[in-house]
Amino acid sequence: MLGTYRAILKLYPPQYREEFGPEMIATFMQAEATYREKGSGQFNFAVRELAGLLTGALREWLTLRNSPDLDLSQVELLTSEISLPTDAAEMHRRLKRLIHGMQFAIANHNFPMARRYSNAERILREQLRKIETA
Amino acid sequence: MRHVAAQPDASDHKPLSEPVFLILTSLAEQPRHGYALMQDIQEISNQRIILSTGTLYGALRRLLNDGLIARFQQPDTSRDKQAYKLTTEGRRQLQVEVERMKYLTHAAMSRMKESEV
Repeated sequence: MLGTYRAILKLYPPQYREEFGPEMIATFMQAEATYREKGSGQFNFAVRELAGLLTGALREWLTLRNSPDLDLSQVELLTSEISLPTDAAEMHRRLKRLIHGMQFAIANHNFPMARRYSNAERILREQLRKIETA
Repeated sequence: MRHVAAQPDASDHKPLSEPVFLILTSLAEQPRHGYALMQDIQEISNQRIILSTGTLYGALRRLLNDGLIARFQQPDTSRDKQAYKLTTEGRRQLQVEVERMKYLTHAAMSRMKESEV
């Protein structure tokens, strides 16, 4: 079962796998051990896990595909001093856009652009920390 | 005459899906790692919702991106066992959702009462 799980996990986008793969496997192994000890519900568990993984992989690729690829001027505008928002909700919205953009850039092997997104994200997170601790 | 409570202000709020609502509810109590979340959600929902790891981590990824939860470093755990905690924004969104549900429940109850009369 673990072998099948690892194989299906390979269908996820690489950056997602890198970020969550080891943790997902560890959680899956814990859950599987619990069902094994109980001695019942193992079949339902296996079906639920495999279906969840397959739909999850599809959803992650669709999310990446539908992410807006912001151009450079938009990235700079999102983090420029003049336009930095002062409320946390707006900051979270901007962060979300940047992260989607970064995932999209990585999926398309546009690494210089991904670095831009990453720098912009760092600036916004610093600003957010200031707002939340103020 | 219909009694309608004031609708909560939810201008920047989209209704949360059930798994997301349950994840935020579970984290409102304390930080938890993936497996503890799965077990707690099963308990909160009275064994009705059993999340798969695929569904759980998909929701966690979206919540991290939206800034509603954050990774929480526990000193005695490995990279494979990350804990998650609710952020200030996550707690606010959960509160807005609870208010929205209260409002809808109240509206449903008052209309059922009216139809009984």
